[in-house]
Amino acid sequence: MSDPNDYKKAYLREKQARDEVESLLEEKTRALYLANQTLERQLEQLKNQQAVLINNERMATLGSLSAGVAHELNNPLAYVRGNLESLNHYLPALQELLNLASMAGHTDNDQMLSTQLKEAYVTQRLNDISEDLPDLINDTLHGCERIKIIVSDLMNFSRSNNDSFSSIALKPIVEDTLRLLSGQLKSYDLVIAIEDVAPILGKDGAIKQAIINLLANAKYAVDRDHKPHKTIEVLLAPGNDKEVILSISDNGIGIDPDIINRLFDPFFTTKPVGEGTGMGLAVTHAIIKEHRGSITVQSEEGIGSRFTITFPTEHIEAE
Amino acid sequence: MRGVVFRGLEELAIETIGMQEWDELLETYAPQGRVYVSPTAYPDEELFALAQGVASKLDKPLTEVLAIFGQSLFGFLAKKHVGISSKFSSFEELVVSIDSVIHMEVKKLYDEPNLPSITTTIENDKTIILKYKSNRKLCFCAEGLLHGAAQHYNRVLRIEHPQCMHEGADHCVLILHLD
Repeated sequence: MSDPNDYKKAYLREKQARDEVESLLEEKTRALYLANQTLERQLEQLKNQQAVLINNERMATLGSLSAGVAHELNNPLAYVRGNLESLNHYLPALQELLNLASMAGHTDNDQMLSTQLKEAYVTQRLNDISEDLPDLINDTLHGCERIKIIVSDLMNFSRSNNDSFSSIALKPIVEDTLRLLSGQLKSYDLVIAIEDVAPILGKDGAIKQAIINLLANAKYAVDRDHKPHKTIEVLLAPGNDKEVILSISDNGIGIDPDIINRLFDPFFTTKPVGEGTGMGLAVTHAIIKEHRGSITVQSEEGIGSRFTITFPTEHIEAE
Repeated sequence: MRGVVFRGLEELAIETIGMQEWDELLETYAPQGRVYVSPTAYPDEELFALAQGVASKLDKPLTEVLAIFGQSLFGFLAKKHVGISSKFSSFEELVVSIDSVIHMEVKKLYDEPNLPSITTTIENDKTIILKYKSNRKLCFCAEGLLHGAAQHYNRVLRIEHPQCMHEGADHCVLILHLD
């Protein structure tokens, strides 16, 4: 092939071959790009839907929490009100005392003022009032503080539906959640062992949501059983080097082995119609997965169930 | 730079300096056995060296060769991607769509992180102001591409280049005057 025209013909053939192969490749690449775009859009949609589901579940939880919280608020409110009524009852005596005190230095008859003060001291039982006042005020302040904490916990829970990933300590989150549910859990034997553990990268509100769901299930399970001691156990402890373990267990009715594999399926519930959405454990599972953690369940009918959550502590990237 | 641009240069070089000269340039400036295929990325320096080689062989300044190359590259790309070039019914339509349509099409085909940024403003029915910014500073090639596009749509185009990255500006300004 010494003729330059032959080289040119060979080059043109090779060029045409490259063109054809590239054209095929481009067609496939373009289709792949468009398919990928569609998948990304669908993934975004799914993430949005999941966020909506989690939020709906949070609102449902908030609704079911309300009754317990209302009861929790009622107790401090009752003694705050009682104390204020007592203070109101003492008010005329204190006003009389103040009136007499205001006359000091403005009257020529100090003797008479002194007598009136002594009479008031006895007739108005100022001694008793004086003894009562610090307790009344301290108890009222304590009640207000208690109400403030309950409201604050509830608000933290309800407004954290859009919270983002940050470094968080699990211990206060578990403690806050238990406090939020304290009214509903007070008739159970609670075994709580919460250790200081390494921080994790997570969403405060979402984790509270997961814990509430598991505690609500534990409560439901022990309520359906008839053991004299209804025990719910919450443990938080370090796992291996890079893990934190949170486990919630109960000595309730346990879970039928035939359904245990479906527990985390959306809309799966063993509760009667109207009592459960079937989304609690599905949402819990989604939350744990979002944190790149894992959740496992061990259960034996008639003995109880244990849900164990493992969170990674050194995971930085969040989806 | 993607192989598709090298292939455009290859086509122009074979037409203007011939296969043997192009082969010599490849021997000198490209690794042994190099074959350019459109989706593959090759070093920018290789393209600049080959373009410089073509300029030397044609005894023309590099800027002039880049302009000629740009003009020829437009025809090469338009022929290769008829589906894209047929989307535009006029030169003006094509120019204002460079970033939003053409570069989007490029992204579909190639994972190209160094696309130039191009913004356009239509001043009036005969003048378009185009701002070009690229770390490759291939503004002369962009001028050639614009001339190639004008030729494709049978328009007479004159380009003013009052501000240039080669003179230290942050971006080039090209004023396109149409007939």
